[in-house]
This record gives sequence, C-alpha cells and structure tokens, in this order.
Amino acid sequence: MIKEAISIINQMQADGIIGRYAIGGAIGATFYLEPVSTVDLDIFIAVEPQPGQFIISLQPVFDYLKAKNAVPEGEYILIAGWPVQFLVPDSPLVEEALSAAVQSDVDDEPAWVFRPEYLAAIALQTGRAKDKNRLLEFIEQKALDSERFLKIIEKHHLTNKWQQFEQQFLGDDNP
Amino acid sequence: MMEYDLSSILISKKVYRKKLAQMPIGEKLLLIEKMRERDLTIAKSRRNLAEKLMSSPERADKGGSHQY
Repeated sequence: MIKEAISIINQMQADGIIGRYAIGGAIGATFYLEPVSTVDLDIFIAVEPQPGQFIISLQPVFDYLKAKNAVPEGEYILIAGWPVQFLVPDSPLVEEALSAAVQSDVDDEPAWVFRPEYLAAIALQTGRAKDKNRLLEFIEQKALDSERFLKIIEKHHLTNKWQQFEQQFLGDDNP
Repeated sequence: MMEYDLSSILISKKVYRKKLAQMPIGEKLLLIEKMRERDLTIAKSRRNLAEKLMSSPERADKGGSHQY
C-alpha cells in the first residue's frame, strides 16, 4: 500500500537517513488532480554527502530500507509492494520544489508533496508527452495559482517553453 | 431514438473528472492501487500472449510480425 510506503519513508526521515523529502511524479500530481495509473512512486530526497566524500550516495537509504524488508529491484526499491524510486534533485527548479514542498496527509499519515505549481513547472521542463498531458490537466482543473506558476517559470528560464506550450495547446485559455 | 450529443458528453466527462480530482487523497490512492493491479495483470497477459505468438509455427511461416 502507498500509505505504508509513505509511513516507512517518514520513519527513515525521523531516523535521520534522509533530510527533506517530497512526493513527485504521477502520485504527487494525484494529490491535486484525478488519479491516473502509474507503476511507481517517485520520492525526491535531500541527502548530504557522507563525511569525507563529495559524491552523494543513496547506499545508506538502500541499506536502511533493506533492513526493513524492502527489496531492491533495478533502479527501484520495493517498499510495501510499491516500486519506489528515490531521486536527488538534478536542477535548481527541483531543488526549489523540494524546499517549498507542503505537508499533506494520507489518512492521518503525514506526507510531503510538491506544490502543484512546481509539479506543473517540472512537467513543462521535462516535456515528454505524458508531462504535457499532466500540465494540461493542472490547467484544465484550475489547480494552479497562476501568479506563483508564472513566477516559477520565469525564474527558471522556462518562459519560452511556456509560450510554445500555450501556443500549441491552449489557444486563448490561460492557467 | 437515442441522440448523440458530443458536447454534453464532454461536459459530463469534465464534471466527472473534477469530481474524481476532489476525492480525498486516501481514496484516490486506493484507486491507483487498483489501477496498478489491473495494469500488471494486463501486462502479464500481454507478455504471455507475445510469447505464445513468438513460438507459434504460423509465425515462422509468415516470416514474423511487425512490432511498433
């Protein structure tokens, strides 16, 4: 169950293995949009390099989870039956999204999740067909604070991409 | 006779999707769990079918099939 996986991730955070975390991807978007089918859970995490090292390693995360009966499976680790992918922010946009994540809850289990404007901006930046579809969903469902969204895309130099997207998909509609 | 009114169908779909979006997150995640189970079942059955087709003698006679 996803809730159980989130609970284990919360425990891992409480035990100091990871710093801040936030749910992204399709599950993150589901906090604001209609549910869509997905096979995995994307967790963005803040990790510091271990003392004396400059490269960030996810080994402590995997070691901790393996001790909790999680099973590594390729790039994923199976927690409570769900393949979870741990991702370290790879751009200033994702770093900022992680810092600005908000706390929600899943049936009383706390869960940190990206704000919708960051999920939309990341979708715009990533730009695959499924990301464009997700961005359209955010707009159609009026799930974005447009002022916040436009500030984010301007700050992260996504204005051109946004204009292209608007031209291609929105016509006269605006977020 | 049944009338086919695309615009009312689209409106009704939009309303339903909004309703889904407004469901409590716990319920939405349960739906995702069910969708995932279904997807995995379909994927498994698709793999079995593909294996069956690959090993069928007709396939060899016809020189294989295209995959996209």
